[in-house]
Order: sequence, then structure tokens, then C-alpha cells
Amino acid sequence: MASVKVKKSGSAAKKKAAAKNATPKRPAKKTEAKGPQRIVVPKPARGAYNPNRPLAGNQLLIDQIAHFRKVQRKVHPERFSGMAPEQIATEGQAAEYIRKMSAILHPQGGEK
Amino acid sequence: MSAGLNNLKHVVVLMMENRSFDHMLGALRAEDPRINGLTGKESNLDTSNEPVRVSAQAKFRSQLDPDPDHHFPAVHKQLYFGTTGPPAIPSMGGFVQSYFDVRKDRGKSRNIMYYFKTDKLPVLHTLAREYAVFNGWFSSIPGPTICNRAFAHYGSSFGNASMDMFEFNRPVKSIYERVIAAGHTSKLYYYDPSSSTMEVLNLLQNQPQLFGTYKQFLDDCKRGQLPKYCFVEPNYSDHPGEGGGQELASDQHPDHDVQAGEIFIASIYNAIRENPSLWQSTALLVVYDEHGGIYDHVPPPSCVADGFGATGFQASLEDTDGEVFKFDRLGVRVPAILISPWIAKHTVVLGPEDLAHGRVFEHASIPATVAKQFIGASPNASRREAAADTFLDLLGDTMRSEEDCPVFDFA
Repeated sequence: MASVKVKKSGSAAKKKAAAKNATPKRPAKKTEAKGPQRIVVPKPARGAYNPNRPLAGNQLLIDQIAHFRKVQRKVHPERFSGMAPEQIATEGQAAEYIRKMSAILHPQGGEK
Repeated sequence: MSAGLNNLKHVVVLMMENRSFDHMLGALRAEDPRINGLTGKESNLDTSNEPVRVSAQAKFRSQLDPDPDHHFPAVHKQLYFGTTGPPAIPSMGGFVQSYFDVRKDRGKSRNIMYYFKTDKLPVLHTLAREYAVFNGWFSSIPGPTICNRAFAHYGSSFGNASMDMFEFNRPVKSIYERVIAAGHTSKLYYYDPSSSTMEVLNLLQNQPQLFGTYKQFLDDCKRGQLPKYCFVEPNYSDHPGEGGGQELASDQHPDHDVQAGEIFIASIYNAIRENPSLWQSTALLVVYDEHGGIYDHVPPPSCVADGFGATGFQASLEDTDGEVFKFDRLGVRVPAILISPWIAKHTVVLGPEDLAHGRVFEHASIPATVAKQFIGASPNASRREAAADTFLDLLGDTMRSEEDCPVFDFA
């Protein structure tokens, strides 16, 4: 079986692919049906979603918040997000602060 | 000029987060020896001087929490452990030691040597097999996200090797401003307002009109209204959706779920792939900003000095053996794949392993390529951009058929 999950796979197509790619070796993934090869992309496992993940584990988000905070202080001191950035402890809280700051800097982003 | 270049109307760059070449693509060497991945014998010493070999045990999440350190001093250790430091050739021997500094756990420090098996990443591995994979695409700086992403936007980080802000009104304009000034269209698409952009301090603050969202990207693809050049950012956090539901971080930044990133990459590809006229006239580059502290075996080469002082350089001299960084060497190698129906299947762009024909790319290659294709070389481009190799020559004269180019389905 191919290393990638595909919807259809045929032995003739596999042999053809194997012959064509004798060197280098490649997994056979051709489908018998006409049309392009269709690769199935698995879903993340249940429990992958975790907005309560501690912010301390993600330096990128910490720095993104710091950048928004600098903008808040320097450019828009009168337009606060209504949140205290220094109290943000989780990824979900970080996203909420960033959403509010994005709405100030780029209101077009909220348009449907 | 090739037929593929003649037909080219759009360039799309999707920049993911913090994974090294070997971590994501190293396993592909087993099926194609031209790909400069892993033999399985590469190793680092742990803190007990025990060799730790690379191992195909990478999981989608939970192995790299907390985030491996990838600021300049840590990367310096990852590159030069056991050597006298620059100008010595990097040993690539300090990754386990560096991760131990974060984890304080000898067993967990070995996780930094894990890579993904070929059956684990169907999207990235399929794209690497089907289109052009680069053996020699390096992050621009041996450091973190913001300064590396700046090279994709400006061709320079203006002397910054850290996550700090740098000032606006630099002599070098962003590639978006330059493309627009030449009478074309250009955009940065961030995922949604809760994720926003990493270009807060310059572009979002000062030029919000440059930005759109992922939903707008999908709409623009569907309507055939994609800009000449655009840059796409993934979702950087787990958060509730605008209309309810759950939005998973798709940036693949440790410890975010790698499969969510696979889905995001596939969705960008499909959005272009499913509009026939757009597919025929677009080149999509999927690239990672930096290695995120994760092992890669290829020593980064030297490069043209950037010409800017290291004003934002935060590493202490003690941490880096007294070295003053001159922006004259590249960061750790990252995955990069160029996608177009005009690219021959199984294309491998050789890197520094081929002394005669190998090519080296870095993020300054992005503005250099876009400028060359759409507006001509910029007279005030940064030194690094002016020296950077460009990649659209990979588009050939033959367009692959509809049947020959895969499509992704979502489970």
C-alpha cells in the first residue's frame, strides 16, 4: 500500500509507477480511474484543539502580543483593547487580545 | 523565456513556522537519494556524551513542548557546538545540548533529533515528490521568526537578529509596496483577526490596506482575482471561530498540531489547483521561516553581508563566544517546495552538497524573484536581495496534464 492514503489504487497502476520510478524508489499511488490522483488528508486527532495551552510555551505569540502592545502604547493610546496584555496566560486569551487589536488596526479584516 | 514563465501571472508564497528540512522531509532520501535528507546515521551528543541518532519518531504534537529555543545564542550553540565558532564550518552538533537547556531532561532533549516518516505527512511529502523540492533553501538568519520573515518581505531585517521591532521608513521598501508602485497588485493574507499577522509593527500598523484574510484569499482564487504577488500566513493560535466552532493553529509552530498545518497547506494548494486558469498561471512556494531549534544535518553556508549594523542584536557576547554577527552567514535549512503544473515531476533542486551545480536560496530569494519577474530588479534592493538566487527558472516549457497533478481530499 502506498505510504499516502489514497481513495483508489490498482495493481497495474502500481506496477507501472514502480517501473517508471525504479530508481529512485517511490510509493505507487496512481488511481485507476480517470482524473487526477486524490490524496486524502487526515484530520487532527480529537483533543488537538487547546485554547487553554499556556502562553508561556509559545514565544512567537508572546512576541506578537508585545508588538501589538507597542502599537497600542505608541500609536493608539486612546483606543485600548479592553484587555490587560500582561495578564494574558493562555493561547485563547492571546487570540482574543489580538482579535481586538486587529479590529483597531485593520477593521477590513472583520468584513465577511 | 520558457512557456511556463510566459504564462505566469501570479506568485503565491505560503510561509509556515519553525520546522527544519530534515525534520519534515529528511525521510524522503530513502526513496529518492537525490534528496539531501537523512541516512539514519546522523547524530548529536547528549549531555552525558552519549550519541543520539536521528530517529523517525516525530509525532504531530506533544514532543516539543516547551518550544525549542531558536534565538541567536541558542542557534549558535546548535551550529557550532564542539568547534571554535565562526569562521569554522558548523558542526551541527549542539541541537540536543541546546534542547536540554530548555527541557532540563536528558531523555526529552533527544526529541529534537526526531523526524517524520514518509507516511506521516501526506501533503508535504506528496508536494515534494510531485513538484520541485529544494535541497538548499536556508533561513536568512541563524535566529528567530521576525527577523527571518523580514527577509521575505524586505530582503533584509535591517540589522535585526531578534524578535524585536524595527523602525519603519527604511530605504528598502517591502516587495508589496514595490509591486504596487509598479502598477500591479499585491497582498498579505493573514488567517483571521484572532491570528492576524507577524508584520504588526511596520506593515499592519502603517499600511493596513495591504492586508486581506484567508477567506478573502479563497474568494480571490475562486473569482480569479488573485493579486500578482501575495504572501499567506497560517493561523498562529487555537481559538474559537468567528461564527463558532474551533480554529486550530495551522502554523506547525511547536507544539501546534502538524496535521492541522497539513490541512492548511492542502487548502491553499487546492484553492489554486481547482481554478483551471489560475492553476496554469500561478507558482506557489511553500516554505518555512526557520528551523525552530530542530535538527538539520547541513551546515549553513556563508553569504553576502547584509550591510546593516546589528542594532537589534540581543545575544550576549558570552553566549556567542564573543562573535559580532555581520549577517554574512545563513540560518538553518528549511523545507521549501515550488509548485506549478509547469514544473516537471520529481524535480530536486540540488544544494550545497553538489559543489559544481548546487544552488543556495534564502528568504531574500523571494523578493528577488518577484521583482525580477514582475517589476525588474529594484535599484535600492538590499545587498542580500541583489545577491540572492531566483527560482522561477524551474518553470519549463511543458504543462503537465490535469490528470498528472494531484488534488487533496479532506477526511
